[in-house]
Formats: sequence, structure tokens, C-alpha cells
Amino acid sequence: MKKILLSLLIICVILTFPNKKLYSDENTIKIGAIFAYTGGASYLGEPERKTAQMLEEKINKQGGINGKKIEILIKDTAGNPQKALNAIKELVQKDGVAAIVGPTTSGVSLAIKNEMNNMQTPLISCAAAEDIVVPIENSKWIFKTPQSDKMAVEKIFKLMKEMKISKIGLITADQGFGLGGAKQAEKYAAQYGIEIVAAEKYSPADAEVNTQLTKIKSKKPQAILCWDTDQGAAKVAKGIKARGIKVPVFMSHGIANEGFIKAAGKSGDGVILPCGRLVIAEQLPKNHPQKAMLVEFKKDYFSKYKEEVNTFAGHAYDAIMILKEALTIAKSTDKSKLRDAIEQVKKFNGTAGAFNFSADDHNGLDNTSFCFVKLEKGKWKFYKD
Amino acid sequence: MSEIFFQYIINGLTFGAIYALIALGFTVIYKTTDIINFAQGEFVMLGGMLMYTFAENCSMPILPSFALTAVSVCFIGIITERLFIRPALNASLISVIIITIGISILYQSAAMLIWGKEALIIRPFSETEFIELSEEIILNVQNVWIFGITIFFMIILHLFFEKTITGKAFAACSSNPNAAALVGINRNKMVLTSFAVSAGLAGIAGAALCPLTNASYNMGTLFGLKGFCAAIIGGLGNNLGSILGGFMLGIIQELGAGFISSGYKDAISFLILIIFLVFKPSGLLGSKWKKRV
Amino acid sequence: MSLYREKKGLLFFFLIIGLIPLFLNKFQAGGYYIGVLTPIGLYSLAAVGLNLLIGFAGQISLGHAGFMSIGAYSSVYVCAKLGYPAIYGIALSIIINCILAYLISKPILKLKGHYLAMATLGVGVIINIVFREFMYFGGGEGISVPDLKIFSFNFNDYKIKEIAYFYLAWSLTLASLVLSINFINSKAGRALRALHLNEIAAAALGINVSSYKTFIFVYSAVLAGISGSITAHYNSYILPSTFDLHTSIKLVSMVILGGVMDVKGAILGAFIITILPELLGKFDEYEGLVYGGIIIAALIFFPNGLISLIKKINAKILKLFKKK
Repeated sequence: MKKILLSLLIICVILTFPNKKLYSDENTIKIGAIFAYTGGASYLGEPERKTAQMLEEKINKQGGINGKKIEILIKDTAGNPQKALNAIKELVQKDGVAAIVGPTTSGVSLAIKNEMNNMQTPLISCAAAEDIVVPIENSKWIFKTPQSDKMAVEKIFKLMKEMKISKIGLITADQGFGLGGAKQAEKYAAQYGIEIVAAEKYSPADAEVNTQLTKIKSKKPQAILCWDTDQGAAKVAKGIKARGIKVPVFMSHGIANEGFIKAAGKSGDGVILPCGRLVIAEQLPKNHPQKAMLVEFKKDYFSKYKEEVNTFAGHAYDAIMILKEALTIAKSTDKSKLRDAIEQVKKFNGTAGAFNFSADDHNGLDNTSFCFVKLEKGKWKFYKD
Repeated sequence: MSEIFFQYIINGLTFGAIYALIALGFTVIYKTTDIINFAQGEFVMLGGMLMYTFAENCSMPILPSFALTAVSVCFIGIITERLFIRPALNASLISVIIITIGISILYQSAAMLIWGKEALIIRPFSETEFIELSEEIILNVQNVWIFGITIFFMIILHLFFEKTITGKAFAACSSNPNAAALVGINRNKMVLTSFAVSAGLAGIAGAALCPLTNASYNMGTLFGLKGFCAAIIGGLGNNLGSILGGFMLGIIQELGAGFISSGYKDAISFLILIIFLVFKPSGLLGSKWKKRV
Repeated sequence: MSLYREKKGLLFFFLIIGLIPLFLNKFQAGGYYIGVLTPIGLYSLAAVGLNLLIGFAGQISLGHAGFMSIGAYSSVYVCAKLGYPAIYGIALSIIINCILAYLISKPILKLKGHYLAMATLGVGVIINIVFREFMYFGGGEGISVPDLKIFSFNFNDYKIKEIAYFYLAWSLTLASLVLSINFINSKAGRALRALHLNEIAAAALGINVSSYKTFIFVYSAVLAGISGSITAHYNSYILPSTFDLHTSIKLVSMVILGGVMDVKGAILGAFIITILPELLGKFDEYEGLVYGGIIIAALIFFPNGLISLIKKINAKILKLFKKK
């Protein structure tokens, strides 16, 4: 008897509990950010996180956006899609953010794409895979700031054609960014008269890539194309040196940072890659439209964190600044209006290049955003436009 | 074609030696305690991490770093036994499995917090990194080191078991614990020693391997599992079997990865394991155990 | 505890669970908290089956996430690749898991102890690697999963998604719990318990040991598969890494932590292990330490699982009531 009464009491309490709506602070603009600052991709995500914190301070010091202070709520994904899914749900449903910046990796971006669309909240990803914003029909709420792998691959192929290279060996990571690059390479190689004589993949967990490189070497390519970020690419660079492979090595814009130089050491010398102009900002001609902004960002980052900035920090910089621009255009935090406003951002100078978004183009970059850079004696040197 | 084949064999022997050492570790613990230590792989990882700390962080020369690493991992093995294994010796089988898995998770986490998540680079043991045997085949000198070190310690272990009193006590303990106790062999001490020895072996494997492959906090799991596969293939409880199983596994794995597909490398190892478990669970050299009713 | 009282207690428990979303929905962030409880329900579904396998049939499986992933990818195949409604995807997941579990059980359930553990681990890892390499399903990158629509009711509709999946997950868990308890107390269940205690004696008494083991193995695989299918639709995306060795170990930990002797323990275990990262909040770097530590400590001090602790507390509370 007592138990039944107790249960009825509990039920009554629950049903008559007043509808409480948590008050959202109208005077702060809340922005979510998810980066992989722990885990395997932390050398990418940590600079992004630092950039976000740096920009939050700077923007608030300059008066905020639309007269309101901003708050950037940063959550860790550790490169794990499940964690990322939980994080975005927390940010959107619990914290009520207007938009989310990040994540760091292509794999995670693709994993949360559907959910972001479902929750009708804008996402500006800091990952490069083309598939993040293509096809546009299922990417209505998704944007990205890095140059896409497709663009980078095509730019490299164009250069290879000029260098009369027609047979290449391809070696990429088997997931995320690496896989995206492999896909694009296989798709466009023929258009530039290039034959992929050997295509190998490796897992990030693999200790070394000797087996794959041995296979590639046996097919005698004229150049090697490697698609991965710092750690994986460094493994490949080391392996190439060990195998005594002497042909030119091309890599992706994912390695344009100190992490690669440190991990690859001497074996990184000679690598050619397309990338945004951030890492060679000082070597740009004086009147280059991006130069002032790039140099300032580099200086600010270095003075606050005492370490060199890298392209990934640049992607986070772009994402947040573009969001700022969009908020200013939309003059509100209504998510629908914000989404439309991002599409209206044009001629915006970011670290990756000049952005021109539109309803069909959620990346906003073309291949002039790249220049070619060569690693010489552990330093990035401008190679070609 | 044959050059690639030779390259795969070299890789196979290298990793095989590592798996053999790890498998020996499993066997040693299994013989004294009937426990399978799922955390064995973590000792390999700790070997690599500590090697980094001594050789790179503290900039000590290779030999003392190596010795210090081996001793440290032995010590960690002892602590592990005291803290976690001793209280659990009488728990049910599945509980013990989960406890050792719990230890593995714990150590991985601790390693992540102490050393960070990035791969740690350790310099190779000798100045010359590579020897070109021919145009196609390059021998990484570290491979030679790994092979040499593992063979060396296998011999030492063999001498330990055959020549020393403690070693013989081990063998007695595993064949008949009651009789062993009767003649004054302290079972607890045996268990402790077995953990120290097995951890030490794994740590040595890790320290030798990591200049080749870099050390990271989560490298241990797969090595532990493969070492266990090797132990079963060779025959659990048989020292020579563990060594044989290790080399076999290493070579088959590398050949499979090379000729079939590198992505399926681990799947190949586990497939071999399952085949053995289903058709010959006693392994190559093990004897059929009888189950008493 | 008598079967009647056990079922009454269970009903009460699920009544509370059923009321939780109504309560949480009154908060603006309610959807989020409901969304935290749903995965617990989905894990519980798989854990209940596994509990029966470990606790009552006396087997071990360190590869059950493999069945979850087969369930998930079956749903993807039917819905994303063939375009049929979700219900057929779940049906396919059940069928494939039945067949696969049956085929695997025959050679593998002959093994015991560590050998069985490693064999099941191997199976789980191989399944994981196959999906990782097999590009048809997107490989390591994963693949999109269409919405879960049953008779034109879309579970993924933004406005009702969290509540809909919550009720779906927990009703399935309740159903599996009731099924399991009925089975344990049936003639077949008693045979199973006899088997667990002493396989050879059971066989000597004429119990078809191999059939029962297979049956429970298949049952647990099917439950895991359904859990996998629903998870796939819930996240709208799956990758091989969602159902890897870590997940298998998590499942077993849930069962053991909760209490292998009592099926309800699976839910307790699922709750504790899933809620852990939430509780750690800012300190989630320490998750592994806490997770490992809890498992070790719980098994050393509470070899019968934490449900025994709950039962003791429950008994004490009831005594207090009675005194009044």
C-alpha cells in the first residue's frame, strides 16, 4: 500500500512540475567550438583551440560583435566521432550556441554533418575534405574554411604536368583527410595525363610504412604523392629516405606546420606542397592583400603562446572571423539568418586565401588561394605561385 | 620480386622476435598463475616510453638508458602484481580477465597523462641507420639490434630456467603447486618473480623496438594481443613454443600484409589464431590438456 | 526473490524511466539530458543479452561489438543502399546475426576460458577490420545512415527525436529484460544454470549442452545487433570505430561491473560506465584512469558486481520503512 501511495505522489509531483525554461543570457553571443586537442590529432587541434581563445579575448577587447560580448565554448573531440556527436548535442541543446566552429578532422566532420543539419545549426568546419560541403543538397548548414583536397590535388597535378611527370606512386592514410585525398587523386589523375602506378594505404596506427613503400618503389614512379597530416606524413618521409627513393615527393597542405618539420627531421627536406600563404607570410611581396593580416596573426599568436603558428590555427582563425563577419551581416543570432549571412560573405581575406561564399559554394576558395612551398633545411621556402 | 620477399622476411623476423619476447612473458606468468595477463602489451609500451625518458629527455647514452628501462619495467611489473593481482588471485576467471584489462586501461591512461598523446621519437641505437644490401633491399640497423637483443635475452631466460634454483622452482611450481609448496617453494614469491620477469621481457622488447616505430601511449594493446596469439600458436605454457609462435606469426603477418593487403594485417594474425584455436588449441608444441571431471 | 516481486519491482523501475522524459522536457536543456540516457538504454539492450551469456551460460565474449556493427551495417545496407524502410534493415540485422552467431558458435563454443575469450576477441576484431577496409560501406571514414521511419513516423524528426529514441531504446530494453527473466526461470533456464555450474555433470544428465550454449549466444548476438541498428539511425552516421574492441570491452565491463549474476546488473553497469565521462566534465582526460580504476576496484571488492551493493542498500531502506 505504502509503495503505491509513494509512486502516485512521485507521479503527481512530476506532472505538475512547472515548465521551467532556462534563461539564455541575451547579452552574450554564445559560439560553440569543437577541436581535437587531445588524442591523435592534438597537434592539429591544440593550435586551433589556442587560436579560438586568443580571438575570443581580442574580439571582446575590441567591443564584441553587434555590441555584445562573445563567449566561445570549447569542447574536446579527441578526434573521436562519438565524442564529437555528444559535444555538439551538448553545445546546441544544453548551451544553446548560435553556431559551431570546427571540428579539426575530416572524418569527424563527416560524422557530425547529418546531426548538424538535423539540429539546424550552422557548422564551420576546419577540415579539408571536399565531401564535407559537397553535394550542396545535404550540406545546407555546413561550411568549411580549409582549401579542399580536390583543389590541392588538381594544383599538384597541374605542376606535375608542367614538370613532365606522368607516372606517380600514391601513398595515403586510410581514413579521413588521407582517404579524401586518395579519392580526389584517383578521380582527377587521368585529366592531367598522370598514371597512378601504385596506390598504397596505411593506418595511422601503423608503426611504419616500409611494406607499402617497397611496393611503390618496385613500380618505378617518377614522383610520389603522399596525403596525410604531420605524423603520418613524417612516417612516410622517413620511410622514403630509408628506402632510398630519390624521386620528387609531393604532399598535401595538411603538413604545412612545425609538427611535420619536427617529426620528419632531415627526411622532410625537399618536399613540395601547395598551401595557404600563412607559413611564408614574411616572404610575400609588400603589397600582397593578405600580407598585413597574416603577419599580424603570426605575431599575436607567437607573442601569446611563444610558439610558431601553423595552417591549422589559420583554419580556426578563418572560421571564427568569418562567423564574426556573418554575425555582423545578420545582426542577430537567429540560426537561420546566420546561415544565410555566411553565404553572403564575400571578398573576405582569410589565412587560407580570399573567401567568396555563396548558396552553392560553402567553401569559398579557388586554387589561387594556394601557392607552392618547398621545405629546405627545415624551413618553408616559397616555391611557386 | 624476390627482393621484396626478402624485405618482408626481414620485417617479419624483426616483429617476430618482439612477439616472441611478449609471448614468453605470457607463458611465464601463465605457468605460475594460470592467469593471462591482458596488460602485457602495456609493459611493451612502458618500455618504449621509459626509453624515451632516459635516452632523450635525460639525454643518457643508450646502454644505461636501456638497462634502466628494463629494471624500471620489472619494477612496475612487481608493483602490478602486488597491487592488483595478489588480491585477485582467487577471483573467477572472467573477473581476472577484466581486471587485467582494467590494468591495461589504467596504464594507458596514465601514460597518456604523463607522456602526452604524440608519438615519441627515440634515436636509433647506432650511428649508421641503414645498410644497403643491394639496390632493392635496405636493412635498417635497428632491425639487427632488435633481433640480437631478443635472442640474447631468450638465451638468458633459458639459462635461468635450466641452471638456477629459482628457475627450476618455477617449473616445479607450474607442474604441481602443492608438491612445490611442500618442498618449501614460496608460491607468492614465484608469482611475483614471474611478473617481474615477464614485465622485464616486454619492456626490453619495447625499448628495442621503439627507435624503429616510435612510442605512443596506445601502442601496447595490439602488441599484447599479438604476443598472446603467438603464445597460443606455439603452445601456451611452452617456452620454445612461444618463441616459435612469435617468429611464425611475425613472418606470416608481414608476408600477408605485403602480398595480400596491408590493411588486413591484424585480421590475418587473428585469423591464424582462430584457426589454431579451433583445430589445434594446444598449439604447435603444447600437449593436450586433460580435463578432470 | 520471487518472480512476482521481481517483476513488480521491474515494472516500478520502468515506470520511473518512462516518466523521466516528461520531467526533463520541462527544461530547456531537457533534450540534451534525455539524449544522455538514450545511449544507456541502447547499451543496456546489448548488455542484457551478454549478461545472459556470461552469467548464466558461463561463456565469455570479448567480441560482441562485432555483432553490433553487423546490425548497424545491415540497416545501412537496406536503408541507404537499397532504399527500403528501416524496419527491413532491422529484420536483416536479426537474420544475419542469427546465421553468423550460429556458424561461429559451433566451432568456438567448444573452447573454454582464455581461449574462448581470445577467439571471440579475434572474431570481433576481424569483423571490425573488414568493415574498415571494405570501401562499399565507406571504409574507415564511415557512412551516412538514413532516418528511422516506421509507418511514416520519422524518429529523426528534430522536434521529437530525443524523446522518440528514448522510448524506443528503453522499451526494447524492458522487453529484452522480461524475455530474459522469463527464460532464466523456465525449464530451459534452469538447465542452463546447471550447465554453468558443471558442464560435464549437466551433459551426463542428458542436457544438450551445445544447443543451449548456441541458443544463448545467438540470442545475445541478435540483441546486440538490434542495439547496433538503432544506434546507427540515432547517430545518422556510423563508422567502424563506433563498434571496435573498446566497445566490446566496455560491454563486458558493464555486465561484470553491474553484477553478472543478475540480469538487471547489466543496466546498472551500462549506466555507470556511460555516465562516467559526463560526471568527469572538465576532467575527462582522466577518464581512462577512473574507468580502469573503477573496474579493478569493483571486481576486487565486489566480485558479485555492484548490483549486490544496490540490493543491500535497497534491503536496508526497506527495513527502515518497515520499522515505521
